[in-house]
Amino acid sequence: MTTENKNGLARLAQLAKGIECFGEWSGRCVSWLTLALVLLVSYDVTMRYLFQDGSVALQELEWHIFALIFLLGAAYTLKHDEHVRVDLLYHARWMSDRRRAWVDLFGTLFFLLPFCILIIVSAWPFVENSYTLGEHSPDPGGLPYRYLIKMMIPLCFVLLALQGIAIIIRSVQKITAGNSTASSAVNKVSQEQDA
Amino acid sequence: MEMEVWALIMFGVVIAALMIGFPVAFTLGAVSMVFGGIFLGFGFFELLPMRIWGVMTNFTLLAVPLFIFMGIMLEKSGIAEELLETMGLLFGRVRGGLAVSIVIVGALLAATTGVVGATVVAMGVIALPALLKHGYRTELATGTIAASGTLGQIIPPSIVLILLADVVGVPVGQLFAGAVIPGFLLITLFIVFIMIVAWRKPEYAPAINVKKLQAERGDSSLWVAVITSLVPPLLLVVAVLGSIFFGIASPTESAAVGALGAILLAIVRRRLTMPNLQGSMRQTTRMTSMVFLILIGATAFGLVFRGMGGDMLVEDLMMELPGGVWGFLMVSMLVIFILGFFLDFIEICFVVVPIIAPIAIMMDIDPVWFAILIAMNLQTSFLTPPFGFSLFYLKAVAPPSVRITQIYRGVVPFIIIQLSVLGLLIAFPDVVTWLPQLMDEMQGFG
Repeated sequence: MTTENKNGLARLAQLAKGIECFGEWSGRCVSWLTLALVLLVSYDVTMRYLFQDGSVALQELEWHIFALIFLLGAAYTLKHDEHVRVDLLYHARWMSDRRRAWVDLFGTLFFLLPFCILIIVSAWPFVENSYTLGEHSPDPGGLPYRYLIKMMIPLCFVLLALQGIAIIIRSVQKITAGNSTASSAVNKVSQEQDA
Repeated sequence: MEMEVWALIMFGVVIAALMIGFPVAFTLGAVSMVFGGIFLGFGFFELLPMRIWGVMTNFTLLAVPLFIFMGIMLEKSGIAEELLETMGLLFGRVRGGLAVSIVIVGALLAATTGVVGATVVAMGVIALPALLKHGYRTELATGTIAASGTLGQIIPPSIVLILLADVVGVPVGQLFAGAVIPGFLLITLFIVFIMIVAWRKPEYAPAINVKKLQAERGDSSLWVAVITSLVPPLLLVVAVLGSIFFGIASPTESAAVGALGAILLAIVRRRLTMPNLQGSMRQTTRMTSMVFLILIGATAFGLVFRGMGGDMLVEDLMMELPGGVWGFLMVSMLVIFILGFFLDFIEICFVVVPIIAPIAIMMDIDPVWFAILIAMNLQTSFLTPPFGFSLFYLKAVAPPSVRITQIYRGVVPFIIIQLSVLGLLIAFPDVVTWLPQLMDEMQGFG
């Protein structure tokens, strides 16, 4: 391998690391919303049953938060490899780490990234419409700026695609490093540090 | 070839592509994208964001992260360990008692967490070594744990039932109510089976020396321990389910109150540390995201499948089956059972059920009954060798001395029990529908 190549790889590894850091950080931020959701819905229930005081804005805020959790948490979940796989083969005994890296590389290139692009492209008019119409909640007392929450759909898949790029880099690393045990050990250490 | 036939081929391609092992959500989406692009044009996918929007604004589905939060929080509060310990003390002196206590704890954990993998793993880690240490036969021990851990599918409030309710189009409360009697039936039969084994083959399920155990944990009274460990989670479950059944609160609302209750319980037990709280929040985020990303992928699949007329083809095929309604029931249950070997509940719920549920409703099959049959069926499927999910979960955490063949053998009687109950539900639909109807009437008066 030439030094130039090595430099390029190192820079890519740096990029992957940056993406993963960002993914971890964003996921941790988003996770606070789950606690907020518990408290908010509990508060809402209490107010409604004890004081007969319901609020449309509050209810809308609740599903806004719900949507934020699963949309913005998606890339973070991908980073933790917790999107369910059918692991009959993937976790079979004869599958080496290297073969799994091939699956991840193939899947990210041909499944994840194209699907991300499809949704980003097809969601764009959906968001744009809402923006140009200045769409508000149709209910009186509802939340304004509906395009903001609609924009979370493409954003979810932008973040997923970004994480996908990190996966591609990591997979290539695993595949190329598979031959020399020394470098795979280095990889393992860096992964453990990430976890 | 006609387009409908290609829709069926797409179904086959999806199953094959899933076997590669890349995350389900994106595999579903990408395969649908290819078939949709070829047969319907990419403009067709403008419908997709609207469907995603439908998921985002669905107030009932909001119950899913809340129930997940409640379950994980309870798990972190250490209630499972304590339940297993005190129940073991309570029942352990009887032959087979330790296994019975595991069924009861499994049912209770199922009612609070409703996440199959988590329950099987938790009990496998805590209870399996205890059972083996006290001389239980490996087959009986593993079978009991796998079967009890899988109860989370059917015992409300389960995530599975919430998702099914949404897909089939019935109120969540109705499904919860419909699952109560079948769930209790299963628990009872599991216990009866264990008692029979303990009676006929005492060496398979020995009584344990409770005095020794009690000495190990100090002198605090057993009854105090039972009350402090059993009552709070029981109270929580009763409050959550009760408020739904009596129409006091929507499932979403009672889920939030349940989650708050779990936090309070953790505070009382001095387990609400920052790592526990953060762990719960992060795990909830990831599980929620996992579920709903699959829903997005499955939505893409469903859109394309219907756009290509696949649903009409399946409907025609199902209508032509001999035996009418019964033929349809047999075939759909068999298909779900077999798919349950390969696919997780969420995938089947989002991909397969939307195709067959409308046919069931068209045939005048009670949707609540149908949904419970699906849940029961899948639960059995998850236990069935060689691919049942619960078996793998258990193998993963079992001591190395436990062989997978022992787990396979141990689970067979429980599968027979489950299949008998499934048959019973099919023969006597009232077992399922009686409680939801009663609930309806009561709410009608209230």
